[in-house]
Amino acid sequence: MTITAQATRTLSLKDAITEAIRDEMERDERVFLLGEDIQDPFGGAFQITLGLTTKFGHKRVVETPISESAIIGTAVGAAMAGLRPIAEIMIIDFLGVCLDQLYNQAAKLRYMSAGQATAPLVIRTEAGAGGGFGAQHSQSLEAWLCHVPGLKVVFPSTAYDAKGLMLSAIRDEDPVVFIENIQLYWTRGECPEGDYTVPFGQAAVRREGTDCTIVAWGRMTMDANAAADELADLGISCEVIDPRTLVPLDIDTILKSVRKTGRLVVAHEAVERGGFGGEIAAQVQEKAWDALKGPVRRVAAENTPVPYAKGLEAEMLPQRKDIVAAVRTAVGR
Amino acid sequence: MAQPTNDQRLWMWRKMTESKMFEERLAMLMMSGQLETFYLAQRGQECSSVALGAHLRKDDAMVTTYRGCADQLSKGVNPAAILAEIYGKETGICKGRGGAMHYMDWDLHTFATGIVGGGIPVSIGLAFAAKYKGTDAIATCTFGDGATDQGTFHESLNMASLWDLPIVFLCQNNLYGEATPQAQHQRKVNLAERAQSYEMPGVTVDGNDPEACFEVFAEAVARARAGKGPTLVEAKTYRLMGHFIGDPMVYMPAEEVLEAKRNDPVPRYRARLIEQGVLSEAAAAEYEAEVKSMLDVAVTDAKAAPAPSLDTLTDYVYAGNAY
Repeated sequence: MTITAQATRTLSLKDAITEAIRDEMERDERVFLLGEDIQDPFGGAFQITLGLTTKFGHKRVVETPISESAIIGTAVGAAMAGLRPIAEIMIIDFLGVCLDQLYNQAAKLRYMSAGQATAPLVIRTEAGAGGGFGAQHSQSLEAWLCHVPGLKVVFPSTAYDAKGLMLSAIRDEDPVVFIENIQLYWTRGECPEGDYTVPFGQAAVRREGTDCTIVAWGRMTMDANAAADELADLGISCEVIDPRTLVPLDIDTILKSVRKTGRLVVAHEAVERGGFGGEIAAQVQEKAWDALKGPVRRVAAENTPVPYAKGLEAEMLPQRKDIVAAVRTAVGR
Repeated sequence: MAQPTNDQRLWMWRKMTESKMFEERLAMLMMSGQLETFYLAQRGQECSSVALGAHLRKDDAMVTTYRGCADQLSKGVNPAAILAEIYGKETGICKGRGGAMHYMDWDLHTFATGIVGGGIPVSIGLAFAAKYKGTDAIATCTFGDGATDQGTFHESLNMASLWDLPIVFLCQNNLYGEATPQAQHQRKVNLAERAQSYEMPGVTVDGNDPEACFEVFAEAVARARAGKGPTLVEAKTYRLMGHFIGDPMVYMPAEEVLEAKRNDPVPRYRARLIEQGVLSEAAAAEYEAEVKSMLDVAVTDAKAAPAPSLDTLTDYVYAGNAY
């Protein structure tokens, strides 16, 4: 990665995304935004695009009808024709409405045309529970997307990564789904001004440790770090890894860590069955079986829709205490 | 209304003939067991395809479907490269990665999808990009009556109208959505009327009359190119080979099929041009012989061409290495 500006300051994750988009729109005329309610003065359901219409005009910040298939299709066609669309699908739960455009049209274009045509586009989408929105506005569906060859799946958890990954995403030559966890939008972190990128396929080791590896992304990185603090008080040393991008996945960093600790807990907010944690567990047992001192454990949501009632929702979602319990079981103390 | 010149008439007949003979050759190869594939013929629907193609430039984008042979040939796509693609060869237009339902030539800005209604939103993006860049290129999008039942059709027409996009929608109404007759899949009979819902012009035309189609597209293409917005054209036609080659067509009344075959628009147009003195029998026969030899060579070459090397399986999944 290159850092051309050194100023250290903190930014919320959501403002880091906005800054990346704004800066790249200034640099590259081909970049434009489209989505529902994204123009000023509303500026998007989560205000990620707030101010951009005022700065760049309606030509480059395009308000669309509530037509998710046509939004993604427009992005695909525009990307084929040489533009760099950033489409907002307001909430990841709405992806089901337009999945054909994503997994049949965007994802397979390069392959089916043998590289003649490509779809370098970004789909930004908010995900996750805790907003009190209930079962159709709270899911974590990254595993669906990871299952489709041709898509890249990005899941930032810090302001620094959000900006750097967004810049990588816009400049990437393939379709990228950029997932923004709702609970992380207002978390603050260091985020330099200026142009820098975080490359895809490079995990971040958030904390080094020797007894157990915890792999977590999105909102669960906060719980993983907190769990690691709590476990440290019990004398258990955890290594915390944030893959940052699920496709491509930096399995090497995870394997290296597991070879050191011999134990792995994977934590994600998505439901357990068919979740991406299973993929990581499978790869680790295939490639580092000899290093494992016990089974890979998953910490994930219960296999239910996300409940509306707060008590039920908390019961359904994975928590810091679940990570603590899983690690303690893994290390046997 | 702009009528075709004699050169344009001849061009349309040649393209229709090329497409007809191409698909008849494919059917022969498949039915005789020489070629195994799943192919959806545009046979019988050629008139509106060539009439639209007659108005297009290289930089215009064309979205079509798995039933798009005449569309793509009208855009100038090389039939030998399509044939090699259908054979799944490295010399195919998509190096054997696209196949019989998804071949495209992006150098000529053609794109096809195998998902009914799936290409319509993509065409919106292509038209959007032309407008965004400030060019007078347009996009076209061909689909069947079945696709007008998909949500993507309605989303896309609404958007095209809302944004005055430079696009021409061509609905080739062949009276069947796969194996279901039109009356069983939609209440509406004249699909151009759907344009009214989106405040855009909608025209129903005899899709088996290339000159009537030519006139309609002259206006629709000019309108798009002038930045005045989209048009929906419904070309009433018929699918002479059923949904796919080998389709037993049990759901199509035998009388109806026979009648349609008697009225096959390609030989009908040939006879009309000869009668009008635009084409001579000798010139027609000479061109047909040319296409036949071209196909002979193309089949021989496609059979002999190398299959994609197995170590290239993961090429083209991503820009760089596959994951």
